[in-house]
This record gives sequence, C-alpha cells and structure tokens, in this order.
Amino acid sequence: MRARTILVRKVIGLVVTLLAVYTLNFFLFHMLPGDPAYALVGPRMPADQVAVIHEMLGLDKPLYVQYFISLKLLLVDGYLGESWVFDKEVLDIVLDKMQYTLLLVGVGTALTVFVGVNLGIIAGSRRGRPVDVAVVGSSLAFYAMPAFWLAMIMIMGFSASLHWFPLEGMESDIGREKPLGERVPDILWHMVLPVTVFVLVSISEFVMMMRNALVDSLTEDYVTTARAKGLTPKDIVRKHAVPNALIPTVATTAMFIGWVVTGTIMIEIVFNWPGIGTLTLSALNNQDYPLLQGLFLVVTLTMLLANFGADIVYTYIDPRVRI
Amino acid sequence: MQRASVLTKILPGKSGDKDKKSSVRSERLRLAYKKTRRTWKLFRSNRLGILGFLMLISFIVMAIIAQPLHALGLISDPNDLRESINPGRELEPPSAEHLLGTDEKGRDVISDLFYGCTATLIVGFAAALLTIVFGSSVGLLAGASGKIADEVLMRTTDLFLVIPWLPLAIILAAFLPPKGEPAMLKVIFVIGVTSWPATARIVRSQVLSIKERSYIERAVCLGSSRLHIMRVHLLPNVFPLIFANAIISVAWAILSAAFLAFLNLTDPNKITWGLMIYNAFDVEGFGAGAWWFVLPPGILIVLVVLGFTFVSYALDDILNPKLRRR
Repeated sequence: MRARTILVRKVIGLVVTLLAVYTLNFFLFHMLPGDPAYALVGPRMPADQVAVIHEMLGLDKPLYVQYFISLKLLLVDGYLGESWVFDKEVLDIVLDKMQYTLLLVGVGTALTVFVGVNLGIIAGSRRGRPVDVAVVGSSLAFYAMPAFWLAMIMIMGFSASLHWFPLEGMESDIGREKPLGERVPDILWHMVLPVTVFVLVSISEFVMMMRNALVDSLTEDYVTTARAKGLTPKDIVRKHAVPNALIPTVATTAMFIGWVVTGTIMIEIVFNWPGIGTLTLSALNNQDYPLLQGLFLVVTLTMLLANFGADIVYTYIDPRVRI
Repeated sequence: MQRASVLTKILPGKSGDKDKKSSVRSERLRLAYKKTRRTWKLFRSNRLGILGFLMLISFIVMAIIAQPLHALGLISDPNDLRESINPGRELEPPSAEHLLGTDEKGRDVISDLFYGCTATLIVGFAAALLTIVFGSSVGLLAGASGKIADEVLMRTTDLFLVIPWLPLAIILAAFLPPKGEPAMLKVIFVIGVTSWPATARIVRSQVLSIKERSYIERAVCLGSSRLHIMRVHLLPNVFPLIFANAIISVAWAILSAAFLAFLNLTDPNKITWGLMIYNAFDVEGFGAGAWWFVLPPGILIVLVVLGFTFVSYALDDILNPKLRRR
C-alpha cells in the first residue's frame, strides 16, 4: 500500500515535470526572433502570401491558442513539426537517429558501470595503497578531460597513425548491401574507440562513489562484527561491505544519465557517429529550429523517463528512502 | 577568559555608539582573520590541496603575464589577426622560431596558449560567480522562507536539474542575440543560467540544518526579522560551503566553456583553449597529426580543472568535520 502511494506520487511528479519541460520548450522557441514563414519560403515573399502561410501554420492565433494546438498535435498525433531542411517529420528523423545513439550509449553505460564499480571496489578495499592512489588519480585525470579532446587524441593515435581502427562513422561502405554477419563485426569495429572514450570520461563518477561508499561502510560496526566472527578480509568486503556500498551507486547512475547526453553529443561529433549528437550539430548549423526544438524535447523526455526508472529502482532496493 | 574580553570589547560601557560599532567591527575582523589563518594552516597540511593551489597560482600568473609578454614582443596577440597570422606557414611543426609550431592560421601556438589562458580563466571565474550568486540566493531563500516559497523554488530547481545541460546550453547560446560582439558575456550567461541548480540544492540543505539550531530560535524569539536572520546568522554559516562550491564551479565552468567553444557557439575571434581544440578539429589538424596544436590546449584544460578540483577537495576535507575524522 505504502509503496503504491509513493509510486503514484512519483508518477504525478513526472507528469508535471514533463508538462513543465514542454511548456518551457514551447515558449523558449516562440520568443525567438524571426518569422517561420520567411524561413520556409525565403525573405522576398509578398505580404499576402505570408499571411496565408501564417494562417496555415496557425501563427495568426494568440500564443496560448498555439500552445494548446501544438500540445494536442503532440499528444494525439505524435506530431512535432516538420524539419526545414530534411523535408521530413521531426519525430521520424529523431527516432531514426536515436537508435544509433542508444547503441553507443547502452554499451558504453553498461561497461562504465561494470568497470567503474569494480575499480571502485579494488581501490576502496586497498585504501591508501599504491593501487588506490593510481586508480583514483587516473580516474580524476580522465574526469578533467574534455570528451572531444580525448576522442581526437584517440583518433590521432589509433586511427591516423596506427590504422587499428577506422577514422570515423559507424560502418564502412554504407551504400553497399551487406549480410548481417558482415555488418555486425564492422559496426563493432567502428564502436571500439567511441565506446572507449565514453567509458574513460564517465567512469570517475562511479569509481569515486563506489570507493568512498566502500571506505565508509568498512568503518561500520557490522564489519567489525564480521571480522570478530573470523571472516576473511575478502569475504568481509564481498559479502558485507559491497552490497551496502552499492546503494548510493544506483543513485549515481540516475545522476549520470544527465551527463550521458553531454558526453555523447561530443563523442558523436568527433567520430561522426550518425546519432543524436551529429544531428544536433547539423540542426544547429542549418538553423533548423523545428528539428532543434524536437531534439531538445525528445532528449529531455528520455532523460526524465530514465531518471524516473532509476528513482523507482532506488526506492525498491533501499527501504530507507521510502519513509 | 577570552569570552570575557570579547564582551568588554563589544560592550565598552560608557563610550559612544559610534565607538561601540567600530570596536565590534574590529573584533569581528580579528576573529575572521584568526579563522582564516587556522583554515590556511589546515589547508597547508593537505598535500593535494597545496599541489592544486600551486597549479592555480601558476595559471593565474600565466594569464596575467600574457599582456606584458606581448608588450615585450615575446609573444604575439592571436586575437589581432593583422599582427599574428602568417599566411603560407599554417600548421608548421615545432621549430626554433615557434617552439610549439603554428596553428591553422599560421599563428604561434605558445602565444595562443597565453592569451587563451586569460580568456579561459575570465570566463571560468565570471561564470562560476554568476552560478554561485544565483544558486546560493535561491538556496538561501528557499531554505529560509516558508513552505510554499520553498516548494515553488525547489520544484523550479529540480526542473532545471533534470533538463540535460548541453542541449539547454546549445539552445540558449544559439538563440541569444547577438551572435557577434560580446560573445564572451553570452557564454558566461549561458553557463551561469544552466549550472546553478546544484548549488541551490546544496545551500538549501545546509540552511535547513542550520535553521534547526537553537540560536536561530533564540533570534526569532528576540524578534529578529527574516532578512536579519538570513544576513547575520544563515549566510555566514553557509558561506564556507558556498566557497568550496564556488571553486569546483570554476572547474565546471571552464569545461563547459570548452564544450561550447567546440560547438562553435563562442566568439571565433577570441582565442580560448577550447576554441583552439575546435580549430584543430575544424581543419582536421588532428587527422594530419598536428599534435603540437592539439595536445597543449587539452593538457592545460586538464591541469587547470584538476587544480580547482584538488583545492576544492582539500577545502571539503577542512570544512566538513565529518570527513576530517575519517
């Protein structure tokens, strides 16, 4: 019963936030200078023609009416407008690119969490020793690195000089039809460097969180009890300290989701990965405002949902949060 | 014993009101000085903090001496194109004349680095200041006000906290007019507006815990106004926290400015380290193996961010008594 009330409250909160983001997004883009009619047909348009376009787009109505029209279009038809450049619906373009981004981010995040947590355990259980110093030091150094710079260095070293990995893109010879057995290894080969950069620049959060939580929980009374019972140090860490230290790490995952977008946009641009990041850059350079607006909305909604998911998991594994 | 002397100083008995005020002030100054010295002593014993501090000092020196070096004719001003470009000598590897080679316009990379340092630090400090002032005002107001104001302010903060940072910054930077002139102000504004929520949250939670202490209750009973309590009791007590947060904010602001530069959203005529990396990327200098142009600005960004991070860790250690015990 209790859990259900919390869930209901969280869902209501989510809906309110979603609506707030949508509203913010709408008014932000409508305060922009410039007339979409001119952007569509060019600046040398006669005034009566402009009026026709205004009527078509609903721009002659007051702003709040426009707001409800566009909200209705989004909720009922899933319509986010047309791109000015690609001549396609914004939502279709965004969803198409989203799958490639999710591939990169999914693999990257899974690796980051796995490697980060394990490095954190290694460092935390050997606090103050050289291993600890090395792990903490290097993860801090990578934290301070701009993702795009590291990506460029990687390309300089491993692609341009050593020719181990491709310079850019997600596949080689895109035009050619290929069987799946050939495509998968090709894509994996293209993914190695972007995923490596992703893991390196985002791992420090997990290493530090896991290490500090472990150091904390190793000073708790139940660890002393476990030691008194005669458990080996290895068992104390694995069976008693780690499970408790894992809880804050889940919270970190939720915070981490916000960073994912920033990191991914950078990495995609440098590696020319055909995902949301490169799409954002091209929309920005083409001043394709409807596409940019749609991108912002979809990305934010995805983040909100992911955050929501992490929140629920957190409530589930840590009973203390439920109070 | 000491307290008695403080009291006699604060309440000097017969002397005038003006005199009393100034002696209170001097006593406050003395205490503040004592406290600063104690903090500095603790800070000095923290090796990482000192390392970071030295790194920061050297970057500040680097930023300050850029102009004098230019006046001496040792470096050229990369923002003044007539003076600094060398057509036909683009992307030259290091030589005796140009110790770190030349950039995509044939400018001396070392000069770029010095001038970039000034601009990078100015943007970093200014953006952090904006973040901190805005964030802590919201945090302080939310923590010290009633339930409704708190709820409204915190929901707004949460909203900004969940919006992914970079897309919001991109949209703001792309649409804020004008694309030309004071682009540096725009970058500062964009970073400030997008990164305050974390500060607001931290400050608010600290204010909430201080608010429960008995001396605040006493002040309320004595009839102090809300503004007075905020100014005299809450702000000084959250200030150390705000300060530590400000330091880490500078690191974040420098990284953010580099991100924006990389997306070509900053002033293309004002050299920063981030812009140097963007230029190297734009002309595919990194594919051509122009390491002298790609590596140095990135390494300097890493070092300056690490410097701020180390100092902030050290301050955290000192200001957070819970950590000190560990």
